[in-house]
Formats: sequence, structure tokens, C-alpha cells
Amino acid sequence: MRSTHLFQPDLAGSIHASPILASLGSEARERFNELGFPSRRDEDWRLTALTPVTGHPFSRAPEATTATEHWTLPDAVTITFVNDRLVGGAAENDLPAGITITALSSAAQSQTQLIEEHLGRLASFDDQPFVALNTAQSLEGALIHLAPGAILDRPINIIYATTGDDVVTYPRTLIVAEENAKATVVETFVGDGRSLICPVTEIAVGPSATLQHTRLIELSAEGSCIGSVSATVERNAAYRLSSAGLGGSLARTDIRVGLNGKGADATLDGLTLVGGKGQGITHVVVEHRVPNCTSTQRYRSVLDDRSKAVFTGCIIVAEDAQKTDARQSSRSLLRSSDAVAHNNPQLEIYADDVRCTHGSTVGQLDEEALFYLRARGIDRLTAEGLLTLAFAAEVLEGIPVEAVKSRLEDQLMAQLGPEITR
Amino acid sequence: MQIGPPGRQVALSPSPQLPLSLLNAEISIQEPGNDPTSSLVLLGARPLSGNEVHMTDSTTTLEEFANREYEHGFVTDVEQETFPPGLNEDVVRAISAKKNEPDWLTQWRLKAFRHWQTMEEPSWPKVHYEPIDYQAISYFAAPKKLLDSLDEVDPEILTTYKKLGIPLDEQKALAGVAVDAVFDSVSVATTYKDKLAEKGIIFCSFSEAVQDHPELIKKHLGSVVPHTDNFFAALNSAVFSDGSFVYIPKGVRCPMELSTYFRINASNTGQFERTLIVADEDAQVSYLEGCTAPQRDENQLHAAVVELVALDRANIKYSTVQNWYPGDKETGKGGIFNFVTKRGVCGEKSKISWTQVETGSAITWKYPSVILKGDKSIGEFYSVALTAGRQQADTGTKMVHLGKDTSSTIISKGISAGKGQNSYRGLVKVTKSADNARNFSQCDSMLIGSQCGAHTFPYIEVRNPTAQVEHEATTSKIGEDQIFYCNQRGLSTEDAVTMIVNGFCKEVFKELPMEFAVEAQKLLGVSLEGSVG
Repeated sequence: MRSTHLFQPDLAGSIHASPILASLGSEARERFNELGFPSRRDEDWRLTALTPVTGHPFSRAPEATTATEHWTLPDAVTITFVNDRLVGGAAENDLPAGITITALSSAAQSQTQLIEEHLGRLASFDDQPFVALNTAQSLEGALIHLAPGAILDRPINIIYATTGDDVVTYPRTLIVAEENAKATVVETFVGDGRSLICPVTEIAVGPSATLQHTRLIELSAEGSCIGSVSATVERNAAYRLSSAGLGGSLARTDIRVGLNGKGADATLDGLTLVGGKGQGITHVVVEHRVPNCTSTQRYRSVLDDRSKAVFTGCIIVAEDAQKTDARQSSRSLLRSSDAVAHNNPQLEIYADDVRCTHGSTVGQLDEEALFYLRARGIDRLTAEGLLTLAFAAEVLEGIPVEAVKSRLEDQLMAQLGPEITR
Repeated sequence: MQIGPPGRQVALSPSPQLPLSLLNAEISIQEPGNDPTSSLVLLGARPLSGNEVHMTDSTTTLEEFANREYEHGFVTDVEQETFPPGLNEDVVRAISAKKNEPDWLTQWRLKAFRHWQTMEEPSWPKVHYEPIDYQAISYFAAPKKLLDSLDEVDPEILTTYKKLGIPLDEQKALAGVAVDAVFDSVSVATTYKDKLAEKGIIFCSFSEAVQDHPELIKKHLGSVVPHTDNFFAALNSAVFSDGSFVYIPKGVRCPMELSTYFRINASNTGQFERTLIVADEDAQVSYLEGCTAPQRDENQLHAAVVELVALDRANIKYSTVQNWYPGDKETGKGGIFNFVTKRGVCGEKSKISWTQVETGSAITWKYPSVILKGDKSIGEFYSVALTAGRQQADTGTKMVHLGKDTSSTIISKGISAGKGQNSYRGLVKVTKSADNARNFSQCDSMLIGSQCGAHTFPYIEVRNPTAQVEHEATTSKIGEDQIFYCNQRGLSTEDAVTMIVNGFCKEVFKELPMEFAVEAQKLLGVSLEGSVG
């Protein structure tokens, strides 16, 4: 099957110097060899056209430089990778005690226990071929560790830039927030040219810890990104994810969150903007494993041209996870008659004392609202832009970092309505 | 043995949409039988031979009803003729020969059989069962000798009937409703045929239709569910035994509700009904289907196909109450496997409405669908699915919008109790040509007990920006405060649960024809028994 693909990941031999990474890598390599690339016969991948990935002879990205200033944030602790190589590290001396921000390759030497305990444990590569691929191939990424009680007021900004044509990168992030720790992390994946980004993010939120996570994907029209986020949330902890995906020919994110301790909360927001022949695909699985947890999902997609957006969101409530409160809403806005939206909300419930809801709508902009604006002298294009922005605002407003929020808003406005000014 | 609560009064309303009290709906009869549209309402009363009022006589026993049935010569002495288990082309040919079918139909069956052999049994439904050995099933059974008296009927089933307030008779002859009763595979009785014939309506068994109206069968068979459609539909196409055929001519409004009671009577015999309903332009028909099955210890496969064709401006309403044997409460052993393909095609400005109450079967796998082909056509799906004991249900609908200004409504109520697993799986597809399509879906689940599961898998696919598609789903349990409120007013917890569940399902029940609604409410109560507390 794989022989028909132009993308043939080079899986020969171990590439990792550190023994921990090497053994994990070889396990994942074996698994990927068994799994291969998913086909449309797999229910999970039925609606994903993988040709932008399998149809190009991607090879590991060579060392390169590219400008990343656009994505830097004021007052943030920034760590930057270009083509899977660390180019700008955190100035470790300004960090409060108990906070480590470092490259995974060096952590594999110095923080072996932490790596051993978490890396590859949260993101299962058993059933996720692209997680297996990343685990087998990843050489570099960021490690963020917050010791018990460590609080960082400034956002941590991780930039992964991929540059070049027919190149692939495998960014890997591990975030471990111990008891009572608190931090805000922004992960930005940027790709220019015809590149493929294959990231995996693993997150462990310890008891009573809070992690605010913003995940941005900005791709060129020919770029692709197939990534995954796996998080576990312990007792009374909160995990808040805001993701935004702009452009690309294929952007798919698989998010898996396990609520492991009583009182855990997960809030997941996402905004997908697709145009051209792009595909924006989000699969979310939230698993309520214990009683008294809450989760909220809010996903919005805006579709132009001949694009496709897929949202598959599953809420699983385990047998004794009573008093679960899980909500999900997914809404798609079709701005073109050739766009396709798929919404597949799913509930799997094995406990009786729960409240689970999902709501899903697909439609176009409200003609009456458009008329209202146009009656006030606003041209159609601008009116459409304004209403679309309002549609996206619900997710944008949840982004905890002001600079990211306003940058995204500007970007949206530029894209949607030329006449809109702040 | 009394038929219902002592002194139950039965009254008829000219409207089949009587307001129903939720619990123990009291019905009274005044004068059944004269008005054909209203005479269908009764449980058990059977005014075939006049205007006798049976139901007001609270001492009427089940035996009497049963005897009356036999008086009318309902008993046939046909010996059970069953093919040995196994399936190959010869068996398919033999079934076809047995039924004296024309060659084109034999060839059609063979084509389906050959295609079936290339197919794999679907594994995507969220149900678990032991693999079915298709070679261990017998594919043809003529009706066997009916039981001589009620004593031969399993007492547990009798108890259930009694609780439902239904005389056994009711299975076979609903008051004023033409009944085409299918026992095992061959239709043995069709009533009210003449009256329907006056209007040009054809209502007969599928085998008869093959003989008498081959042109209609040839034109419509497989036009909605092709023989290649899915594993079970292909199997059905190859070996279908019998079923019903309905044709309503242009502009005719069917004067009564048509009803067929399917029953599975012979152990080890899969039943493969094939139903085809064609409503010609401007025609209108309401069709009821209900099922009961005696207790058996082996899983019985039921793979039916129902095809509905609603031509321009036609209206078809198809209602089902399904209460087949769900299997042993503890082990789940012995229940019916219900793998059904139901689909309808709508012409311009036509309407197809599916209403189903699924309380029986060990496994239900069923997605009554509507292809909204004509402009301004309407599709509706109302469903109550209850799983108790070890029952599993994976059911829902597909609404495929092809025409402009088409609209569809989906109301699904799933109730899980005991160790039941209940899944709603549905597709709403709006194609590029379907301008201004509208859909509203609501899937509510209720859980009773901590060992059951309720799952929802809606699929929404929209390719037209003018479409408006809405989906809502909720899952909840019966509030302790609600039960307390009822307890406080003297209702037992069990009655309270039945009442609350019936209220939960009200939106669906109100779509059912009257007598089905009454039966459905009681059925829920009986099915929930023992699941509470």
C-alpha cells in the first residue's frame, strides 16, 4: 500500500543519540511500519483526503533560516525552532524558580526522569499513525516543566517554523505542569512553501494546576499540517485550549483530552478558516474517566471557495463518571456554494447521572443581518466580513494572550473585508 | 383473564389524534366500525362482522377472542415446510421456484446473491454479537400449524399481552384495519381487500403481487434499495420470502390505515420480508407495521427491506411498533437480530414520514431513510428506541436532500435501562443542488440505571451554503426530584418512571396512529419493568 505513496519517510535505523529517545523511537517505528498511512477505509480518516501528504516526496527539512519576528509576542518567553533545529532559546535566568523551558534534545540528557515518565506516554501511537511517525522521526522540540506551585505570569511562546519546498518537520512539545502550577503557552506552527508539519504535543496538567494553551497553525496555500494534542487533566486542574488554523491545503488536528481526576475541567475552542481547495479537519475526543468533571467544546469553521471543513467531536463518559457536565457546540459558516462542511458530533455515555449536550449548525450568513448593515451604507463584502468576524469572535475572545488575539483579528480582517478598519 | 383494566371504557373520537393521558390512557368505545377512518382506533375490537361492541364487556376473555378468530377460519392446517439450513444458488432458485416466480425475478435474486457473496458484514455499528453463521439458517419456511389453544403459548408472553391489555387476537385483526398477517414467510390472510379494490388500491402479499401485478413489481423493486445496497439488503434481495405490496393509484386517498403484523413463529428461520409501497401522484396512505415474536432460545435473524416510493405530491406515513423478543434479561440470549433497511424516495412536493417505536429485539440495526429527490419534498423521522436488559440498538435515519426547498425533521428519543446500549446514528446530507434545504434534528437520550449506555453519532454533510441544518442532542437521567414529586402524590416509583418516560417520548407518540400510540405507551411501561430501583 505504502509503495504507491510519494512520501516515503526514511525509517531506517535509529536517529536518536539518547537511549530513551532511541528505544521509544524504534518502538514507534515498528508501529508505523505496521499501521502505514491511514486510508479512507478507516472511519477516522474517511473524510480526510491525504493526497497533499502522501502525494509529495517530502524529505526531512535541512538546516535553514527564516524570519520569525512576525510571531514573537511582547513580554513572552520565546523558544524558536526552524526546520526542527533550535535557533533561539529561552533566557533561562529571568525565569522564576521551578520553571524549565528547554530543547527536548538537551533535556533527554539532563531531565531523563521527566522524559521517561511522560514522553510518548500521553500521545498514544498505537492507533494514531502520524503520532507514531512523529515519535519515530522527531529529533527536536520543546520541554516545559513547571514544578509544584510554579507560576509564570508571562506567556511562553514556542515557534516552530518550517521553510522550504517538499520538506517535512516533526516538532514535539512536552508540557508538564505539576500540582498548583500555572502557565500560559502559545504554540505557533508556521509553514511556507509546499511543506508538511507533523507535530505532536503532550500535556500533563497536575492536580489543581492551570494550563492555558493557544495553538496556532499558519500555512501557505500549499502547506500541510497533521498534528495531535494529547492532554491529561488531574484533580481540580484546568486545561484550556484555544486553537486557530489559517489556510493550508490540509490542516488536521487530533485532540485527545482525558479528565483523570475529580473536578477536572477542559475547555476547548477552535477556529478553522479554509479557502481554496483546502481541508480543515479537527477530531476531538474528550474522555470523562472519573466523576464530577466538566468539559466545554466550541468549534467554529469558516469556509470559502471549494474548501472542506470536518469537525468530529466525541465525548466519552466512562461507566462511573457520574455528575459529568459536558457540552459541545460546532458551527460552520459556508461562504461559497462549493464548500463542504461535515459536522459529526458524537456522544458515548456509559453513566446515568450526567448532562451532555451537543449542538451543531451549518449555514450561511443571515440575510437580514446583511441587509441591516447594507441599509447603513456598508458594502456587501465589508458587511460579510464584519458578520464573519462576529461569527469567529466567540472563539477569538477566548484566546488568553492579547497580542495573539489582536494579531489574529487583524489577519482575519485583512482576509475577509478590505474595508474594515479597527 | 381480563383484557384490560376492569371496566375500561373505550370511546372513539373521529380524530386519530386524541389527546392522550400519559399513563394508563383510558379509551372508550361508543360505536365502532361505521366510519372507516375512525374504526381503526381500537385495541382488540374487531368489527369485521358487524357492530358488536366487544370492548365494553370487561369480562371478555382472551380465550374468547382467540376462539372467535378461529371461527373465522384463520387457522390453516398447512404443515411447516422448511428448507434445510444453508445458502447457495440452488437454494435461491428453489425459493424462487417455490413461489412460482418469473424468470427475471429469479435472475434478480441470483444477481443479488452473487453480489452478497462479495460483500463483508458491516462492523461499524456499535453492537456486539456472536458471528452469524449464514449457512446454519434455513431460508424458507411456509406457515406452520397454528397453535390449538392459548395454553400452548408461552405463559410469559401471555402475561406480557395481559399487561399490555391486548388480546392475542389483536395481533391478527385490528379493528377496521385490513390486516395482511405474515406468519413466518407466507401471507395467509388478507382482509378488506375488496373494499380497497373498489378504489383501485392494491394491498396484497408480495408473492401475490409478483403474480398479479408483475409490471409494478418489475418497475419499482430495487428502485429505492438496490440489490447492491448493503450486506443485509443484498441478502434479503436474494432470499426474500414474502412481505406486503401496496399500490395507491393517482389521486386516491387510502380510506383506512393499512396494517401488517409480522410474526416470527418458526425457530431457526430467518425472516426476510420485502415490502414495497408505491403511492402514485397525489395519493395518500398510512401504513402500520407491528411485530411480536414468541420466546425462542436461538437468535433469529431478521433482515427486512422496505421500499417506499412517493411520486409527486404523494404522502406516505409509515409507522412501526417493534416488540420482538429481546432475549433473556440477564444473559441476552435468544433475542431477535433485527437488521433492517428501510428507505423512501420522495417526488416533487411529496412527503414521507417514518415513525418507529423500537422496544424489542436483542439487536436493532435500522436506519429508515428518505431521499428527498423532488423539489419541496418533506422527510420526517420520529423514533423512540428503548433498550433494557442486554438489548443493543444502533438506529437513526438518513435524510438526503437532493431537491430544492426540501425539508426534514428528525426527532429521536433513546432510552437506556438495565445493561442496554442505545446509539443514535444519523446522516443529514445536503447536496449541491439542494438550495434552501432545511433540517432540524433533535436526539435526546435518557439513562435509567448506571450500567447502560447512550450514544449519539450524527453525521452532517452540507454542500450548499443556503442550507440550514441544526442538530441538538441531550443526555439526561430522570431527576430524583421528579420521582419524589410523583411519589409524594401516591404514585409508585415504577409508575412514575413510566409516566416520565412517556412524557419524554410524547413528541414521537403523537405522530403515531391512535391505537399504536396507546400500545406503544404500555409497551414502554412493560419493557421498563424491573429496570427501576
